[in-house]
Amino acid sequence: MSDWVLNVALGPVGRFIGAGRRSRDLWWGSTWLSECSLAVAKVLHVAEGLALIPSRDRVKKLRMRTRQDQYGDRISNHLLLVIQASSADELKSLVERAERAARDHLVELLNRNAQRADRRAAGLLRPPSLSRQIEAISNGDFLEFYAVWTPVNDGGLRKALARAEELMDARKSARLFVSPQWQSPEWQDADFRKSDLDAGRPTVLREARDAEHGGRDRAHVQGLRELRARLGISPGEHLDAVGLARRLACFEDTNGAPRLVPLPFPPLSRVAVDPWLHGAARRATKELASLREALCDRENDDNFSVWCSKARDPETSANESALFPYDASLLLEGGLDALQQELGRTTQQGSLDLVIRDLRGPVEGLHEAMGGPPQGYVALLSMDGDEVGNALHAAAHLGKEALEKLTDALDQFAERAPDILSKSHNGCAFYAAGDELLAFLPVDKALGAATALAGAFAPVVEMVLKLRLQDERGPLSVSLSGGLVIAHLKHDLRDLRAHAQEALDGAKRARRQRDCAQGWLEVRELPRSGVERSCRGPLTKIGAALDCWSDGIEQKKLSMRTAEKILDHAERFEDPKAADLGSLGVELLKSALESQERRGERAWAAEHGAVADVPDGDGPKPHPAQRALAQRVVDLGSWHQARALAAELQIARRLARVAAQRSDSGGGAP
Amino acid sequence: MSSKVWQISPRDPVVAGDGGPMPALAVRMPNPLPPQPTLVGFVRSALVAGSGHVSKDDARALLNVQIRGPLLAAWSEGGTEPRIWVPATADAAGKPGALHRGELLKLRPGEGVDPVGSQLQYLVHVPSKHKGEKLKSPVKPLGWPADAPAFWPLEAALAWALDDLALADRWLQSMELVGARAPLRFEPRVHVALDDASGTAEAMALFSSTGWRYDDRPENEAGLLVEVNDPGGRGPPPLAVLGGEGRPSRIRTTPDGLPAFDANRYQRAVDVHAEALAQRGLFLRVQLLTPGCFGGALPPAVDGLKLVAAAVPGMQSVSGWNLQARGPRAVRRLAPAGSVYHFGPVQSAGQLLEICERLWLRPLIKGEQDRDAFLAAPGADGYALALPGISVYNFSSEG
Repeated sequence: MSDWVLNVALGPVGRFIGAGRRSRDLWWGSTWLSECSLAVAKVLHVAEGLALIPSRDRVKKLRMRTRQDQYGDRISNHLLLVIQASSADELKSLVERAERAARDHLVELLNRNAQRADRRAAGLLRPPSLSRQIEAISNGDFLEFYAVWTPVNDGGLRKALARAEELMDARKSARLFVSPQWQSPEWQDADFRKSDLDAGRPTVLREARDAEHGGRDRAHVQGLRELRARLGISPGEHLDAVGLARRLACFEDTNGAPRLVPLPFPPLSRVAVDPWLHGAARRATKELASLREALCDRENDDNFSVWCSKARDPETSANESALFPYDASLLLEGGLDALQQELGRTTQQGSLDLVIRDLRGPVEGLHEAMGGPPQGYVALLSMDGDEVGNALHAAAHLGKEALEKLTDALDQFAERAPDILSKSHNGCAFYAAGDELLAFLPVDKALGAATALAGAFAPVVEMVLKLRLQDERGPLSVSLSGGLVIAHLKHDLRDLRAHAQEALDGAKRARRQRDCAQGWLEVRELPRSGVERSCRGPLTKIGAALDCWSDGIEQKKLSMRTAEKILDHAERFEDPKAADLGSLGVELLKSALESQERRGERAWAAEHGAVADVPDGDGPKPHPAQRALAQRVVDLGSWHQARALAAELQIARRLARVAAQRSDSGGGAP
Repeated sequence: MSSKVWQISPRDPVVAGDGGPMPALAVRMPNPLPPQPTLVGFVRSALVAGSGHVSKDDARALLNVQIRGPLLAAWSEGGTEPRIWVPATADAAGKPGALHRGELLKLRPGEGVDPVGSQLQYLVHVPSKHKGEKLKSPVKPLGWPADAPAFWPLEAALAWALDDLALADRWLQSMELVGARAPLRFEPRVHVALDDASGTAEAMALFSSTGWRYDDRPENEAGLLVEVNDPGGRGPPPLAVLGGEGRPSRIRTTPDGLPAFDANRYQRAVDVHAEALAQRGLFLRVQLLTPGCFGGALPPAVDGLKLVAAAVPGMQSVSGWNLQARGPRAVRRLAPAGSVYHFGPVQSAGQLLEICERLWLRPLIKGEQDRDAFLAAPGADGYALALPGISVYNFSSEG
């Protein structure tokens, strides 16, 4: 027996996760990718050797999704093992079994949902297309499986790990795909309209108007439209086999009728309005209770569950009492009207009107008590470890024991991260595996979550220090960097995810360029109107700065005049060819800002009924945000810094507005 | 056949989606060039513009029209030769000034890859990291817009194809130094939805569509170059609609052909590697300038040369609308432009040069016409235009 390093990666991450248009697409896509990875891990972990990612212990301890509790743990889609095998052929056979296991698992999930679809949505389906797509997946389509292995020779484990990484890079440069023979007779009856979630596959759904062409009556067509609405499929939406299964996975079989079970995850809308709901729990207790009662009465009404599904609350487990365990779209401004308009075309108008009539009073009562509807902004946080791959290589140089210690520390982080996100910060991790994660959070909790996660990463950092890991550049310092995107609920999820990835890449790049030991964070805001804005810095520093500005704005100690003045001056004076300190424009700006600090804040605060704490005279001491802002203005050295400060203030205003909803008073950030 | 080169100049941002639904908020279209079926439909429709009803026979006759392109081009004021931009190669990583080339990598004894990967004799190792730093791929020239997909000047791509990495790198860096501008930029536009019943604007129902604005300033006028071989000898109309939203493009024919094959340049490149050629042979390296329609990710053998390695960054899906059958066409999965294939080895300089000349900006495979589906052969539709080159396997890397 000899040792081999085996490196495995599963995909396509983009099609499993990135292509989601609804929370449930994202949730089930990431769940299934994780489950396929676990199916692979179970095959590979039978072999003797050292399992690095995920460790054997981690696989044993994984809390899997069950029928009762659909909120299981996640593992990474990258697996790394040092395996003992008698020959390369034995390894090859093991890898083939592992791929088969992953494929079979996915096919089983798809078949299960296809059977459900057949019972629930027979009129909507094109069964031959569905079964052929599943068969194609079984034969090598859709699921990507990359595996490379190399023997551990005289060069030792470190060289073997490096070689395995090199081989994986090389293997992934050829992302080979198969192409079904659509022209063959067996596909003749297929509808080749593309799936909206995966352009490489045709739809498996019939459109309602297809039935019209078939001479069916109007009532039948209306029934199909209603069925689409009940299944969460928009009119005219096209879905392939995987897309349909993701959409249907949250229904259960009840007397042949589609019945939505409580979603095992908090929907995006629920996460977004979390601050407002917590504020309502304090300030509008009676009205919130009244709405919950009305919703509770309707839980068993199918017309209700079509558009207001019961769902897990962010910070509670499935069995704990929840603040608002529902999809919260109806609470947004115009939410009921939008739902009525959207669904009125497809559902039986009479029954829908009844539902909406019963709920309109409690919803409007709650809005009135809270001074208006909630803001529909949500945060998407993407985080990833810095230098972790290099640390693993360096640990391999020290031997298996060091490697095990480091992977144990990584496992600890992976275990803790979902709880930090959900229980402490009311968010939901859609993807959390190894040293990377993707999560939705209430806007006001997102910075705290990023900081807490960086704290939970400390055991990994400490282990790297304890093992004195280093590479050719010197001692290694690992950390956790992140990209945080704040956007409106209605923003396209795919674009949001792309922005989060770009922000994460930007943060990691900035960290590398500055050779910083600490993780970095880039924060982007995509407002519904106006231009995108972003700021970045070392995670704790940018987090503290935004918290400080946000607190100042919420306390009415800071206004947005500074940001406005900076942008106004930049518009007039910025010269891209002279962005240095000596630029006249920057000096003019600083002078204007300092003058504004002395006079403007007092007037503004007085106008808004706040105590005019200004940093001069004999008055009370200035608020920390005012002091910090004054210092930042003094330190301004370039237009780049000035614009960064303006962006920080603008983003902080969004944070303050959202945080104000959670507060006892309701705040009133400008 | 009558061959004409069309210069297509979009007057408004080109909106060319992938057939999927348009999101309400602006999402960048992934590719500034129209998908191949869109371009092909544009050309064939333009040829019969104004001639009334197109019968099934007319439509079948149009399948004999052969198209080579599109190539993104930009003309400087007063200049005759346009600067050609081609999709960036998939086997480069890093950034201008610090480029890393994907090297052919052979498995050592005891090593293995999964069954799909083992179809290839060599892997193309495009490094993802260098000294702990992540490397970007594809590589964008200096000054190229951050939000646009990467294109390289043809000169850089050719130098890269002929294994002259230093020259390719200088080209990518010099773009900014000589003040050359990218020929296009991303441009969103806001629209208001119309009420189906009344045909009037719906209050507050705004949405954005995104397109690619081709530079139309005289000093950097951008457009697409397409060679059209029409057996009927027809010419284009002066104006036609390219892509979605009825956006017009001006069409002119230009007396200059597509860039010509430079035999001397290739000869010099082969001469540099004469020793390797004599000892073990060189590989034919082919970079796709338009997407490849092979019924999978890999093309068949070329001139008896076996495919040994590939760098394919994923899958591009196209479909289209069959005007005769009045229905959607089946999805076709394509190897994206920029994909790289290695064939061989070739041990004769003459054979290598002959293949390179024959493949220069020509389709890698011709394919078959499907007259029932009103689908021309992939080669006639301009799929898999090749930029031929050479690659040298470094045997010392076997370790």
